[in-house]
Amino acid sequence: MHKHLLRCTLAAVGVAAAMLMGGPSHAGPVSTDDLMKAQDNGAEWLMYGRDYRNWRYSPLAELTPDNVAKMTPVWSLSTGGQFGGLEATPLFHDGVLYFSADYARVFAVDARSGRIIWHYEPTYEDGLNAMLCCGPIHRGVALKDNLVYVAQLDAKLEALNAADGKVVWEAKIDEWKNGVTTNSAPLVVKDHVIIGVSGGEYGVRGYLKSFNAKTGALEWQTYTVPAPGEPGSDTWPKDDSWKTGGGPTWLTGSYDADTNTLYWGVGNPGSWQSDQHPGDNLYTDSTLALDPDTGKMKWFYQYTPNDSWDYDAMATPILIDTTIDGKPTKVWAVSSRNGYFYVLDRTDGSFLYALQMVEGINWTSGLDPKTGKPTINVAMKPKQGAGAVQPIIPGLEGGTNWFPPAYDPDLGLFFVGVNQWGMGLTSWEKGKLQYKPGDVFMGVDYQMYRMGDTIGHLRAIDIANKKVAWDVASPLPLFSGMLVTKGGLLFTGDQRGRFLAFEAKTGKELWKFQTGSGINASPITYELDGKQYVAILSGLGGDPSFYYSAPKGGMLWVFAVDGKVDEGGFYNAQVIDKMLPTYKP
Amino acid sequence: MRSLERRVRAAALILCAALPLWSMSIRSGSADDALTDPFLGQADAISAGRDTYRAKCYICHFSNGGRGPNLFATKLTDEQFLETVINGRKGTQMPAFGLRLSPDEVWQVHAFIKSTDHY
Repeated sequence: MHKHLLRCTLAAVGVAAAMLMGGPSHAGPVSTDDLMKAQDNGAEWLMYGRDYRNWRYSPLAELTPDNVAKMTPVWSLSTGGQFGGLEATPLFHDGVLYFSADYARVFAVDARSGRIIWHYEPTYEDGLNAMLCCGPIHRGVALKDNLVYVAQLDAKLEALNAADGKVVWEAKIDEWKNGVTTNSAPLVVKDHVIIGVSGGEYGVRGYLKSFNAKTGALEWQTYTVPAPGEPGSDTWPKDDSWKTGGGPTWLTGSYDADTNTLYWGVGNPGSWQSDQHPGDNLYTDSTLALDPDTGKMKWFYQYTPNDSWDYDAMATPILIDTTIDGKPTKVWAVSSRNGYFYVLDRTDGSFLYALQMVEGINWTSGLDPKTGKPTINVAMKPKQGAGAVQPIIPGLEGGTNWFPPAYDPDLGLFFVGVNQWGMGLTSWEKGKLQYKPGDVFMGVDYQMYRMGDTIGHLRAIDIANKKVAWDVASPLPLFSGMLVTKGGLLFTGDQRGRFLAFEAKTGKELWKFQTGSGINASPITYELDGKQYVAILSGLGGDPSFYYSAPKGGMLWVFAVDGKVDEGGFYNAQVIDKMLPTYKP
Repeated sequence: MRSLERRVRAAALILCAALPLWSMSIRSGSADDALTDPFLGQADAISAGRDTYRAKCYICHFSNGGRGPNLFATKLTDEQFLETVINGRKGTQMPAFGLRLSPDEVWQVHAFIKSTDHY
């Protein structure tokens, strides 16, 4: 195509997209009470983890092991763009699906028809891609009142009008050119929009920020690496390493309304040359318990002190009331990148137990059974200029990673994807690593390794009985989140592009559908006009695309048994009048 | 004279990084007047290129390709390599480094990936 014609065509497509962005509001306001009671609202999916506990458990039960084989696609939608990978959890409220695609492009889609109500397309300055360690992926949006909150990749928090997608307010989270970027779904607690940041590989000093939901005003900021003199600063050397100490907060946290406590995971320290910052390096690789009104830390638990291996502990804590050793116990459960699954007392942060999720873990010789503190295997810590250390197990992608688990209270099972792989790390020669804002600040070269024919494992963990209930192996790594339903079904996806349904109790595969591209996003379910639907984003990108060559994609798929789609007036395609005007003789 | 021409053309590439649409009208010259890497085989430049590669390229391109292609097997000409790094590649995740790296730094990276000292 001639370049001029191509440019004209692109411009015209842009105009057409803008025309599609119109349309009436379908969504009413989401109140604080709605969010607090999200677990009881079976019809909707109002926040990242469905409710503040992050269970991703739906009380819907129309779909069951007996009928799921009849489930078929109802409608689908391409998210277009550059196919940078889809990792979001869609939200569903008042008949509208809200979700983000790569580059934090936000869609509001009429769930009855698949029609795009509006589409928000951020614009970015040149060079941003160089600051995205793991691709232009995005993990979701948040709802409150009449606003949709999205953290753009360039560390700007936008509040969009839920009716038309127009920006109501914008708040600068940080300067992306210094390596701080954002791609997670904010967590809204009361009138606080709480957001974490990425940048652990760029020498940032991590933090959480809270913005006022109505105005966008900054309310508080809590750093995850203490400054000299602050509690925990004695776990860092007496130099400036804390300024580049990492500890990003790049996933969404959990909230316990009973105690008004926020739980949030913290990533790895910077640099990866841990011998350059000896000490435990608090509060990296920890879960923090905080007051959401002030950001003040209540307590913490650290999983991997002085981390050399990129074992972020950013995973979302799942808040569960269960029975441990015969006693009713309020816990948080989390599967860590360091290869262990942890259960901790969420009233005080004390260790209860851990299970080894990955075979051959060798960065530690084991965890203290009372405290969970690891005994570090120093032979597996790379040293400057000392050559490659390998294989280290698990590899930097972790025993598990950011993909959200689910918890079924009826079965007492916690469902999570676990990956079995290794890595080699070579620490740079002494003096080679110099901090420069916006440059990668790792200080190691790395190589991931397959350690066998099977990498992925879909696991069900019996929380109360401290054991793996079942395991389903997959040749490729698993990077999709989980959804479990009262109907007894577990939904997830795989790198082959298959969207899968299992019997939650046994792990028996019951249904599958090929979506055409790898699935690294998280499924949801909702009820519309009395019918249960299941939705998932499909599109290879992000970290999995480092390791597997496969078709990229970008689709939202919606499934049901005998689902309905209202095609009356449905069209996401419109004639571009300038390109195809009506002939007038 | 060749050196002056090289600097002028490299400066043009930098300008195009700031004004990306202009790059659409840039055409490579014939093989005879194509820009070539002045640092090939020079140990100091290769070492400097390695450091820059680690700080800016490795996270995507790794030691043998990853999210981006394997640069150690690139078939781009010297000039195409310079232009791609400075202007980025539209429609992909390759950003424009023209405002963050000088042409000499890009040449050093190129010297590194073409050396026997690479990964």
